[in-house]
Amino acid sequence: MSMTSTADTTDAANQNADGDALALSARALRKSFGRSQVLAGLELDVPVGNLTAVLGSSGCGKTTLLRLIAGFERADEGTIEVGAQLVSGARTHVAPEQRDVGFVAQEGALFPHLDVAANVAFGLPRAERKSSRIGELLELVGLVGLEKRHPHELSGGQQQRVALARALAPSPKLVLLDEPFDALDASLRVQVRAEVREALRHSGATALLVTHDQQEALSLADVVAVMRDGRIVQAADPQTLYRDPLDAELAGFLGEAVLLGGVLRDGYAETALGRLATRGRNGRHANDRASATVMLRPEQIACRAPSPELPRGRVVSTQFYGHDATARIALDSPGTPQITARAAGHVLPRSGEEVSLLVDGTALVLQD
Amino acid sequence: MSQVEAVNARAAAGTWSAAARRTLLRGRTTPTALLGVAIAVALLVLLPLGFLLEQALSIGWRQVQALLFRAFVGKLLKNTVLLVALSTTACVVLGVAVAWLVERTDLPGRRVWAVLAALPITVPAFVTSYSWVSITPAVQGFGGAALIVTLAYYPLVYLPVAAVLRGLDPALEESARSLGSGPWRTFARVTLPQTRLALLGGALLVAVHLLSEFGAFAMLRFQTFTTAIYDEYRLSFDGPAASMLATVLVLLCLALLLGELALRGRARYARVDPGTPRPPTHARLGRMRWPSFAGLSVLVALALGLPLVTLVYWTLHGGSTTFPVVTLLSATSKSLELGLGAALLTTLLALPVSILAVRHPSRLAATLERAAYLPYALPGIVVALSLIVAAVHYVPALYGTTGLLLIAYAILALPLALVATRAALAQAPPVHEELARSLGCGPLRALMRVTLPRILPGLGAAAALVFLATITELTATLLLSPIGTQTLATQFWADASTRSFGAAAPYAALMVAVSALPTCLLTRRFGASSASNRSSASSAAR
Repeated sequence: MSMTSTADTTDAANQNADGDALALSARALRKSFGRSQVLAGLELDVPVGNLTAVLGSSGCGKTTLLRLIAGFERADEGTIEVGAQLVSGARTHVAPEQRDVGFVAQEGALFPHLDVAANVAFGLPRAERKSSRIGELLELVGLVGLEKRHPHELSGGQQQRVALARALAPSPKLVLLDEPFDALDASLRVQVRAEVREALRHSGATALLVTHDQQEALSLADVVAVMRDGRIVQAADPQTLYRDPLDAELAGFLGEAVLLGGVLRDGYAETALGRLATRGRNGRHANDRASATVMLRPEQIACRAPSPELPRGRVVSTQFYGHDATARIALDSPGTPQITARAAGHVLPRSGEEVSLLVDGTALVLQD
Repeated sequence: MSQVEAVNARAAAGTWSAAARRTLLRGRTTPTALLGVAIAVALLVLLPLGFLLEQALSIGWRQVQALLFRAFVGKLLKNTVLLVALSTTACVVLGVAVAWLVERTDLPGRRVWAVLAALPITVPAFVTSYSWVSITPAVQGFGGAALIVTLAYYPLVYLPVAAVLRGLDPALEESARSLGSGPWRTFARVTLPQTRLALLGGALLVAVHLLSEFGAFAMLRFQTFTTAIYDEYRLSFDGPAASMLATVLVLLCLALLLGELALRGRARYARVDPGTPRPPTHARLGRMRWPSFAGLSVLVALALGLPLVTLVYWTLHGGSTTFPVVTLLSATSKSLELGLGAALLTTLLALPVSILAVRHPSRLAATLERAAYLPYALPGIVVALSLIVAAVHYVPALYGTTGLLLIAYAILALPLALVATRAALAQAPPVHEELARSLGCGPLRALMRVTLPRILPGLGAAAALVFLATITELTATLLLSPIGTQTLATQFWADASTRSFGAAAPYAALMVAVSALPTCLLTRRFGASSASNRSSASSAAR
């Protein structure tokens, strides 16, 4: 097991294109278990102070990625740098304890033989285990007064927050969170998520979280990196990602998407919903094409009273969510797909009702 | 289906790619030092086997044939195989039933039964046999031997199964109940499979114990391979003949190990979620409550009561008029000293092998673990003689020392320690070690700070099992004790083998007393400490 020498690190690798310092930089990572390839040349950067979420369906290799970064597994190929230090490379595998990377496991995994204070103090040098640092950390995660409790006496959310405090205690360069809210029930999840996010912000820690929950990734992270087939296919801030997904599959993964075929001309698309203003990804102009797919989000489509100027259809079904609702609409013109429109909950059209559809904003031209 | 629907459906079904999460553990690298230590332990343990084979094969094929293919060997084979099959089955049924009654039902007096049901293991099988024989010679022969060794050895199944049942997450059983399984189906489909590793380990121990049992069968005049080997050695000092019989015995054990390996499969029972389980719930026995109570009473009366009462009787009404107090005291302290030394040494040797087998499963790890089980089928006398020869040839300074005797004990008792440490490790989730690593602990410190506290009850059980086995070990002690060293077991045997029931009784009584104490303490502490890990509320109530 060779250790990192300073010669292995390069200054250029410590920054991304925007010049931000990087807490994590993974390059061309490959990992297979037997015949199944889990990571296939994965690239990922996490800037210092940033909360990045890796979003992917279960079994896409997210957990393996975290385990490689933490050092629990060895990568087959590629490099991992934490801060300025090369921790994993062709001839380098720094032991987990020397990486300065914290880990929050799926269900907290608190040490059952230790109380809350001892769990949090676990990673601190002996001299600091009785210091005020424990109190600060418990304050950070909102659990002051629970020092003497044992893990089984805590709720799931509390266990998870103790696990976070424990990971943050040695002030690691990077904290990894492995689907940390998965074990919590839905009502608790939103709250614990917010608390964890706050704690991470306040501590100034850099964090990498993996999840299969789109909402969680979009609402929590500064940057969401979508993982598919062992690669990161797109990484961007949540709004950009939701607005400008790379392809139809990604668009559908991040939320409901309305996909329409059409002809592109002069920045407009002729579609079943009429003539729509278009945009390319990243604000680029889309070239004219005889056949293209454009994407709208349901909230861009509004139901109006039937009108001759607008495309018309009939409401097939509705789905009520409280704060809003969606309606599926079959267009009158034959051969067109059903359209999903989103409306505020109190203006929901009824099933069977005749409506016209009004599109707001531009449609994204998807890659072929 | 529209394009949108197709995309949405695909995303919802999570069919983006298929990767194997279950293979995660396979990718871990095995530390070289750990592997080295485990190999050294396996080699230490294989040494006697090497000697045995060398001696058996040195005489040439013609003589091998002459020694093996004779009616006498056929009779031994039949006796041994039948007895092992019958008694092991009986031990499994008894052990599981008692473990379940004691750990998971509302049986009256569960805590007391938990101790009482384990206690027969503290009465060596040769003492139990001595008790029965001193009452009636009718127990001599197959039926009596099968009954008596079953009563003596069922705790080897009961103890590990009870430990697993105690640590079992009640959520598993509750899930099964909620899925429509009744109590019996739940036991068969959920509870029992969870105890499979412990059950198989226990059954293997019983079978292997029976293969190498010598004292009980000698006392009951029932001929098996071990008694035949002993006779060969005693009468003719005919090395090759005895080694040849021992080789057949080793082959029988090998068959057992392979059978267990096949049954065990690739199952791993570390809980994926390392959360903290609630204390187990207890099934209601209803109308079966008092019949169960009665059944357990009869079992304990036969397995524990009868030998103890007989011992007390012979101690009080024995032939000897004066108690040999000085001999009793020195034999007791010698037995204690050897027992503690062996417990410490053996547990230390078992730990690296278990860690390798549980945390870094591989073909090599499995082979090393199997190797460590092997010598248990060697009669103590074979291990002892092979160690004597090895010492005389390679390390003369070791010959005739307590050290050599301790090594023999360690080799013989390693499987006991392995079963206990392995089961404990399998229940400690590896994620805790990984977390400790990410919090700055090296592999050894992670082991000390996280895993060790968690498996301490298992290590305690391992040490206790080794201690008990050592206190009651007979044949290796007879051969390897340094000159002038007499233990309780050897003193007892000197009198019992000549049917001086009264003179032998005090030594056996002390032997039982000495081994009862740690079992008692351990069963209670074991239960208490694992419970206090989970619920300080219950420990406050205690």
